[in-house]
Amino acid sequence: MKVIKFGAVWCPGCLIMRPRWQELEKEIPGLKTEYVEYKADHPLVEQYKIDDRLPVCVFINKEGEELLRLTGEISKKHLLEVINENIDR
Amino acid sequence: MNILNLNKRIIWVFFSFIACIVSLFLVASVYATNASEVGQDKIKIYLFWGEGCPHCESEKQFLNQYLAENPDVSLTDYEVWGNKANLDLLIKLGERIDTEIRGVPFTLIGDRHTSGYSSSITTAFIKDNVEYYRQNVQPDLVSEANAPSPSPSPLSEPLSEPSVDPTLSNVAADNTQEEDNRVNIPVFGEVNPKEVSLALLAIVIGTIDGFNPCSLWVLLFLISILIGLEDRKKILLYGGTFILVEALSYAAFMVAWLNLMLFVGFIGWVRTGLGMAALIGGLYSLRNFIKSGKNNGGCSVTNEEKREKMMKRVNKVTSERTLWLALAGIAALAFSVNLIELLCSAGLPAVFTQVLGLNNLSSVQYVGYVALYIFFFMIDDLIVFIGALATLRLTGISTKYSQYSHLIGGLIMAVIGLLLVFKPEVLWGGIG
Repeated sequence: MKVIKFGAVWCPGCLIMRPRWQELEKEIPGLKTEYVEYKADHPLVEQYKIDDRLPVCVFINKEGEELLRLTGEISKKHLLEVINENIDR
Repeated sequence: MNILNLNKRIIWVFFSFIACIVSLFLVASVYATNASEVGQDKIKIYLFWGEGCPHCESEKQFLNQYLAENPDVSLTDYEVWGNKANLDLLIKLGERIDTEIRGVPFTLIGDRHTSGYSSSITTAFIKDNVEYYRQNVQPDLVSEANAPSPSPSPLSEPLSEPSVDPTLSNVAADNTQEEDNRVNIPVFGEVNPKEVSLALLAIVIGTIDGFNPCSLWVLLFLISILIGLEDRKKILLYGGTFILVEALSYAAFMVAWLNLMLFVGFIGWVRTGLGMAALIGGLYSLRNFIKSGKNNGGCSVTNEEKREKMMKRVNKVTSERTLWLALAGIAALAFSVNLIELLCSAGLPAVFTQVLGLNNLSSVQYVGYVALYIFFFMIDDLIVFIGALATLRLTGISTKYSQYSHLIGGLIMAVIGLLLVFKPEVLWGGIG
């Protein structure tokens, strides 16, 4: 599983999520993440249709298919639950 | 969003709305006045007034009480803004007594008159002249003006200078002294409910107006760059300048709005138009809240190009080497950010200044309430700024609960909008 995190420097919610993701990445060494700075014409932004709110984190399985996505400020606890449920997929 | 969640939100909005209406009318009941009985008593007071004129309402409240205590006095009133015949009568009376009619309220007792309303001067005028005409024959100039009779009665000697003219309806009453309706509250002592409710309104609306984390983004971006430099002095100077200029420019905007409201806010159709706009704005906010569903906050993806330009400006300003140039740049940045935000959030300050303008306050009181509003408007900026200064981290922000500002702000705007349209007297006698 991989997590693509969409955010922007101007987005307060993204600033809040940043340290939470940093802690999770430290605690789960096997977690693969990629950060994408939002731009309307970015290929991944267009592919995953990020056009409403930020931040968004999209969970992708090994086959590249989207498992789920979470939008807004998510608690570290909830993120941990979702990651643990899907990390082997 | 499932149906159950939508229904819960709709129910929540409905009961919150009912709670607001009940609270407002409970406050208004503090100012319940006894209805006067206009009878055919001996001493006639004629009052010429305008619909929506706050000073007229103040005088009517006094007269209602006065008539109840003086059964030998009667009141006949004429509304002049919506009734041309009444206005013509007033003009005719002005010519009869050789005085220029400059506004309402206009009070006539016998052939003595006064314009405007002051709780000390006008009430003294009424009491003194009623007492005078209890001892002397009272000419009835209004009946003469209405009758076709060609021979007017001679004017009596004035008891004192005829036209004291303390205030008119469209002039801020700096010299008006309001009756003090103080209430004794345990622990807090004597308080004026009018002052308390206006202060509460300033705090609540100011907080809601300022509670928009997404509009904080320029300040957050600025502080995040400064935190990266780990320079507390720069955070204090640059962040402090940004916040100060933001507060001053918003205050200037509110004062401009307030002056406009003092000038035209009492005019019926202006007040009604603002009320309708507030009602529509409030309902739109409530709609956004209901539609938002289970929302974890975040910010909407709009105005990307403008944001990029703004970020470049912030980067340029923070890398400026000359201190005064950097501060000037930050001040200009704060001013332009505020200007943009004003366009998005003009509703709440407009509604608040309209309520202020309907109340008979001194200049110092107006400035005080605006300052109180601004303080609470800026409180989220201050929390972020002080937090960054203390910890060199961005703390104290969350977008998760900003949707509730749509609910509360929407309710306030909708309720005040309804009152402005249907029951404006609550706002200058009830809430304020």
